[in-house]
Amino acid sequence: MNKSFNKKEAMKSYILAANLLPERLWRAAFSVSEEERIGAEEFRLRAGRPFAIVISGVQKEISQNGETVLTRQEEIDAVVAKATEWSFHSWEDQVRQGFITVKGGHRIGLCGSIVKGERGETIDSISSLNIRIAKQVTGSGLALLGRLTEGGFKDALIMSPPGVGKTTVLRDLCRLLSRRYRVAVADCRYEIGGGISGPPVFDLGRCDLMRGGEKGSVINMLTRSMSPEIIAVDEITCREDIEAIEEASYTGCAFLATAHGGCMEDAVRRPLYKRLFEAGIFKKVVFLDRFCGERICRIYERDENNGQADWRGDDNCLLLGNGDIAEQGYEGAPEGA
Amino acid sequence: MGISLNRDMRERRRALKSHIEALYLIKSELIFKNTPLKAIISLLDEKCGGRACDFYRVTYDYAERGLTFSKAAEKNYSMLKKDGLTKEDIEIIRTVCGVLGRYDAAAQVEMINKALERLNEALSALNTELAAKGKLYRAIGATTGIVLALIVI
Repeated sequence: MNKSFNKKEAMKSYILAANLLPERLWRAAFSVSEEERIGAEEFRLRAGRPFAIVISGVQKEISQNGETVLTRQEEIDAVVAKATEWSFHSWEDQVRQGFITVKGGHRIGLCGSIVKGERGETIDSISSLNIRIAKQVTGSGLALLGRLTEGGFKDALIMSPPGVGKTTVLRDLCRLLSRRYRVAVADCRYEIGGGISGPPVFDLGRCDLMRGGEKGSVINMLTRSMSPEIIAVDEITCREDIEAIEEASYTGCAFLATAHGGCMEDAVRRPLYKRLFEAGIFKKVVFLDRFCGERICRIYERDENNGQADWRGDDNCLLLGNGDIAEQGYEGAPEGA
Repeated sequence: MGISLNRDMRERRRALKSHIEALYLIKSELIFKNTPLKAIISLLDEKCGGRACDFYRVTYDYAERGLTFSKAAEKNYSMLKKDGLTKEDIEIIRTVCGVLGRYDAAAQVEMINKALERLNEALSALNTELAAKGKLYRAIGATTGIVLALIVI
């Protein structure tokens, strides 16, 4: 049931994301096979270059009637106009960060020329963009759940290179953890819940969802108002985010966060995360990766030896799959399994 | 003919007033609230109505079919011609539609201010013209009507 459910959801997400495209590209998007649509992760539009769809990490240039479909500048303008509901001014703050999140949680990354406006730098003359198709993969976090809740949930950080599925796994873990814990989600990029306002598009179980804003202030609000046991945060990207987490970690809340990173050695060396690891906030680090199209992970646990922190990694990788692998376990899993 | 000329001028005046009123509302919504265009058009419907509101609503409907707002407006300029607006008036509205919803609020407000200035100038010139020539046109119209009636008799 889970497998077909996820396929159906993936197809629904694909259709919603493709609806952002102008008619010509929309037709091209539906010229790929059903299997490819289910595995699709992104639409890539670059002015004057071939229209491409990223499927399981690989870019596929789209051809129709034997001819490559080239993206036109006005088509990029039309996507931006539609995504901002013809109201660029209402989305200025998001554009300034380089992305727009639209209904359904699809994130549109923007690339163009940086110009200085009255309220700081912003992006103008957008010449390329990618539409990341947000998907709920129910059960994608199930294999991890047992490891993360061993002896009670302790702060965990999910790391991976871009596009592997950190947010997807985080979303599912939030849903699963909310069965046992009070989980509050700081969804500053509107990606976890998948909507700007109203009820979340994706199933987040019993999570309390706070959308928009700066991570620091949102985390503070959540700790004050919702008395969470776990706060979930997507993409730690700057010093301010780390300071906010460090500050809130003393209140007794545990954190489940995501961050970009290739491997444990790099993450520990990276100046931005060095402070986070040195502070000892995160007890477990989960590295996601892809292997033969499946999502896998390796878990590292913090080991304190004579005051020296050491990260001990698992010998084997854990197979998370794309939701379907966890299906059997998921079916019979009791509440809070 | 005179009556029709008079009517055209009055039509144009009504359309200009409607567009000026609409632009003032759009401007204040942009400055104070950063309101999205769709919500602004609903407000126009509620508070102003009139020809400008119809124009912006139809343009937005066109845009929703997958066009930018300026491209959608291009498709809809015939509506402005029907309202009696001159080429110059349409050109002013075209400059506004070119930036509406496309840039940050400050850039849009700047363009709206320029357009309002020019539309207000056009309106006051039209008012002067109407005061001077309105009666003349009506008199010509009435005289021509009487002459035609006499010929027919």
